[in-house]
Amino acid sequence: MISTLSLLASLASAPVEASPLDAEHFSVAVPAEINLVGLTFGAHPEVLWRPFNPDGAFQLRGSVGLGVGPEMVVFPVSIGARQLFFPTRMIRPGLGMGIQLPNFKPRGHDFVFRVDSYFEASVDVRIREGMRLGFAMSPQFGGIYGGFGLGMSARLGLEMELPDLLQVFSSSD
Amino acid sequence: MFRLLILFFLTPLAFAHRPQPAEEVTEISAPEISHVIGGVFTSGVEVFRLILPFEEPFALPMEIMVPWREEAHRPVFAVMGPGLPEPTAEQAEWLPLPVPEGSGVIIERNDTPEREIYFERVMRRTMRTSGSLALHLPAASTYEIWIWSPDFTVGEFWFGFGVEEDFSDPEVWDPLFENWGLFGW
Repeated sequence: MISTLSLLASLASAPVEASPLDAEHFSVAVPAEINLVGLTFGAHPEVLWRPFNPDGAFQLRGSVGLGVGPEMVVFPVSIGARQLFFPTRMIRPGLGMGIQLPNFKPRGHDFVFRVDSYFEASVDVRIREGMRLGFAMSPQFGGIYGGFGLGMSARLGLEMELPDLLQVFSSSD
Repeated sequence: MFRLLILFFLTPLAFAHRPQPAEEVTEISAPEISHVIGGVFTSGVEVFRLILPFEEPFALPMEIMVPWREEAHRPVFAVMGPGLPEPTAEQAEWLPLPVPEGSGVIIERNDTPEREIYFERVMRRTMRTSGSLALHLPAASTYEIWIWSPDFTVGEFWFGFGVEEDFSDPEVWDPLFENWGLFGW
């Protein structure tokens, strides 16, 4: 009886749970990207959402990019998940997977739509509070829609937690 | 690692031609299976010969492709073997080698003014193609294909033929990895 009361008391005094849509659940990364199959160079910015815990290891990833190469332009759109290991440490390896629309515009050819699966192996390093330098390799496999195909991307770029990024913008006003 | 992933996930559902590099003489062990033969004209005077032993009469499409940027590069090919039309004197003169005794010939001159642009989805390459030439090879015999560059232009080419896919042997991918620069970037 006493333990039940103390549990209720502790629940009543607990702070209001933060919303998973609060800014601290989000990060933004802007990596440069090289596609090594069908050569293109560009950027593949991504929004990372940690729905369960602002410091959590599980991230949902949404990303839209642009790559330009000698034989094509690509507009990749990706949705996926990433699991980090040791999320609070300075160096964080991670693994991820999801779906990617590579969206090819070959030179002299009509737009080509395809739905691929992607996988990624990543590692990032904290360079200061709220900012990390990340590197990822991401193989892609066509076959969900639009025929078989390969892909391999390498990405290198900065990732900032959204509150820190917003602070940068607000302090620059 | 990348190679293992490919073999693990996609060997059963690959939809592509078997890759193979072109040598001076290239033997095709299973010509009824579709192939893409990749090669490079480094001097422009090379003649690449493909040997296709068919155990029964066969019909198949063929085409020759070059990288998109190689607008002036127009390699051609000729199919040699029994049951094909006798070459005319002009054709025989134009061919880079003497036509074997008893063989007829069909030539693809790759001279369409505006060549079709083809996007090769497996390796993400953009190519200019001669267009598909459908052929009936009427004898159970060995046919030979010659690929050469009549204007002595240099550069890469890919010769594709066949329709039937078979990747049941994972080793058919080896030439792709061993000649990555020839089929990919």
